[in-house]
Amino acid sequence: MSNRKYDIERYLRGEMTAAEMHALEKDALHDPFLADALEGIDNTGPERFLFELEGLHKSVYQRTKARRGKIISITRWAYGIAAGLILLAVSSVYIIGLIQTNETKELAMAEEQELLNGNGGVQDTFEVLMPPVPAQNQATSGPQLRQSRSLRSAEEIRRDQQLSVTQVDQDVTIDRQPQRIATAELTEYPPVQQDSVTYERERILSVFAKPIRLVRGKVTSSETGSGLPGVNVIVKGSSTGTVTNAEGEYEISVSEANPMLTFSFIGLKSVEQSASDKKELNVLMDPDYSQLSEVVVTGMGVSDEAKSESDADFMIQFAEPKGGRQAFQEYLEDKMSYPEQALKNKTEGRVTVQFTVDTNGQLSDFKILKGIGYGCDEEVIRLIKEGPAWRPSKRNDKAIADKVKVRLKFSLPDK
Amino acid sequence: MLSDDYKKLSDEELIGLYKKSESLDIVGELYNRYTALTYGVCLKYLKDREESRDAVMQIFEKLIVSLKEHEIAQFKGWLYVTARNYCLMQIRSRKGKNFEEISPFLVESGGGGHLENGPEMETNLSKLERCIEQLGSEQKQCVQLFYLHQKCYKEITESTGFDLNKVKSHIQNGKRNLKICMEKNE
Repeated sequence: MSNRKYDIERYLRGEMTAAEMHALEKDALHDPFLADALEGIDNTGPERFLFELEGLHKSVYQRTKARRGKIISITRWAYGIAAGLILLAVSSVYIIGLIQTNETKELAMAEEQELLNGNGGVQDTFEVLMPPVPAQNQATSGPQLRQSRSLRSAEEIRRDQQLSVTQVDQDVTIDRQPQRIATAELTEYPPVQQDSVTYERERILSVFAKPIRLVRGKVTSSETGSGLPGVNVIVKGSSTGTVTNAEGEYEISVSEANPMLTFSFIGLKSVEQSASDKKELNVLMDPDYSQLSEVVVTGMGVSDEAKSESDADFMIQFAEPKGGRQAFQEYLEDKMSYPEQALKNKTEGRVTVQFTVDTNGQLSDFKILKGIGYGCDEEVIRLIKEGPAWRPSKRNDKAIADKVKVRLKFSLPDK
Repeated sequence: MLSDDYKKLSDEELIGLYKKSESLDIVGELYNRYTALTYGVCLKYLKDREESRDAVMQIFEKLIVSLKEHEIAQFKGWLYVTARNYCLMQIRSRKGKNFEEISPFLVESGGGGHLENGPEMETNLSKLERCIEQLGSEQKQCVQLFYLHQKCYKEITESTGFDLNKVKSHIQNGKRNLKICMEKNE
């Protein structure tokens, strides 16, 4: 069975030989799938079909990637929960263990006391000081112990004092240790629990949030500081795009696979920025003087040749002044000498002059398409004639005569 | 890396792989082979480009599940019927009419109009020659150019000057007349 992947696409693009095309058409007579598809394509037009098809291939690809991400996150979640539970179990065992050791220590101390006292009459009440639930106030544990100490009989005081000093010390240390451990536990335990849960939750959210999220922002002009409406915002590498509103604001979905945003608008320099890990992306755009200039050079294809097969029109080069259009514009602005009459009359505005550049680069046939008079129109013609030579227009590398328009703006100096 | 290897496998081999592995890459590779056809069919029935695009993606979702669960002998045929049924269901839910569904596991044979039937027509060459002679001149031209000279539609329109749809209908009608002629003389 032939691999049909490329056949229809090649057929529509005209990349097949005539024999291949015939073979496909013949197959279409046997194959209802192919026949139906060709019919559907006929209805919508081959170019549009191919364009949409590209988008579909991408969507299918993205779909295969997205699902995989989800599967991983679920197992991560399971691991996260398991880890949290284990931590819980371990810490609770530890605490319970601690409680028990404290109780035994206190009992041991009690036994010591009794031995020292020799069946001392006074009972030392050693309260169980470590509360089973760590949430109790640990500051109270120390004093409680000491209070019980003070109930001893006077006889033993001296001996006890000797001992008590040490024992107090011991008590202090022993006291403090459990206390410290308890506090340590108290401070550590709940945070550990919270940490693991919140951490996991954030991780889960971040994993789920990764595939697609919304980025918004405002596009402003670096010149005026005001918002720029109508700016194209495109996710690079995809067919997702939007346009800024009247305020210059936009909102668009990006995925971590495609976080680059491209901002473009005629007359402004295009900007590319990554929206990775950002929810808001504001952008400044600078004017692009090379796109808009006061000198507009246009060519109108004038040709007597018969139109040849298919792509004859694709290799057109428009006529250009030697040195380039930018330099020509600068030349015009530099060398422009504001006519006296126009100055007196306070005339200003745009002059549009059309002329023909023949196959040798000779200029002729000057016409004033839009003039403001008072010598300005003639000034423009003078500038063009005395300016740099012109390279003629070319179609498929063959020189052709072409008409060119030049516009120059006259602005009165220092209003 | 692996995706290049996938390209060498047949449809059915890919399905076998997918059943074992869960990897969506495989289904993606398989569907890529037929995305154009599927989209074309959806366009034919649904007419609307956006709906057709959605349909292509929805059919992909179905695929992901069905390939795991069912035994599919011939993928291309199955996909065609699934796509068509999906489109017809969409139309039905739009309009509420009755449309017939075809079980995905039956392969459609022959069919109306443009499609040929199974058995070849060139069994008796001399009879065929006679029948061709009896065709109207336009049908004769188109049939000869297409079948005997193996020309594609583009070439035929260029050499005859007939427009594309005319060429197709001349071929279709010519074929039908030839068939009648051949059967008559049996």
